[in-house]
Amino acid sequence: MEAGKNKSYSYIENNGNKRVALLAMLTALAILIGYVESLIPLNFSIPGVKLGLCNIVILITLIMFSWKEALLVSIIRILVVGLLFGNVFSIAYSMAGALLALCIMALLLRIDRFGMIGISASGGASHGIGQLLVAKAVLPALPFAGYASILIFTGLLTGCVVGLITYEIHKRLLNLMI
Amino acid sequence: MAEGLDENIKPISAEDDFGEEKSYNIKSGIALWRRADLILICFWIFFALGLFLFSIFNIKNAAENPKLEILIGNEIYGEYELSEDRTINIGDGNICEIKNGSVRMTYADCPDKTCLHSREISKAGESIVCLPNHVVLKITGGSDREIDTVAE
Repeated sequence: MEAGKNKSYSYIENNGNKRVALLAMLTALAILIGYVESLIPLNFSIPGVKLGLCNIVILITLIMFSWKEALLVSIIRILVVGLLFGNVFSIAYSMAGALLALCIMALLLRIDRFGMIGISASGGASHGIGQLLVAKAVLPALPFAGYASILIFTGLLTGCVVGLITYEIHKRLLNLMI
Repeated sequence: MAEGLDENIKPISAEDDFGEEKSYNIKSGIALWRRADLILICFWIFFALGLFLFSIFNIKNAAENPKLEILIGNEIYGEYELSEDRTINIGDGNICEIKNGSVRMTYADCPDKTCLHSREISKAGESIVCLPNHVVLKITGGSDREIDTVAE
């Protein structure tokens, strides 16, 4: 353990092609997982509420690399998914949500006091707030407080689930790569 | 195999090269749950509860003369009395219906149809939103009209 402390694993060597390949793979996974999520028949009748499985990939990227790579993966995912299946507004909503969530998660990760569930749940909650801020900017008549409370509650719940999944995946990923 | 790993997982320490060219050490893990998480989640829950109570407060049960106000984007499309039953075409995308003093959306051309599933609204402060079409149905009470115009 001590030997590997300051040496990053060769898979994510900074200059390596492997790093590029791994990041590309994570991006592809992030794009695909959104489709997989749409297959799960969990229908919340509130706009903006979803499971947020993409956050698994973003969190893993954030932990394995840094916020820069996570930002890159996040932005590429949103642009690709938005251009393929969405419109300008859907890009704006998910971009705001994802950026705010990423900011919060990177900050909490850096503070180094919080576990996976806390980080992920905060990411989920702040994702909803980010989306709602854009919606409020587009549509000032939108009742903010009611929606915000619903989005925070559901974001916390789904964030806990995502955190649990991410923990298990990351544990296995560590095992695989050691 | 996975069981033996739990002891090895240590939280990422702050000295780790955050923002440096080198990435995180793959061998360091993150705990599933730490004590500070409880504080964090409590903070979110209280925040959400505060917002929820605030939104409840905004719904006035006994507004004297509730009216339906329809907005497209920022512009007021029209105002309607709740006392008479009628259906209203809102642009091309939406149709809403006033019946027995409450309002519901009956048609929307957007893909998600969320507004069709929203419950009926009848009290001042309640609203139905069709986000894709930028349509807001809002019940306004007689008393908070002034506040709205001042705010605008």
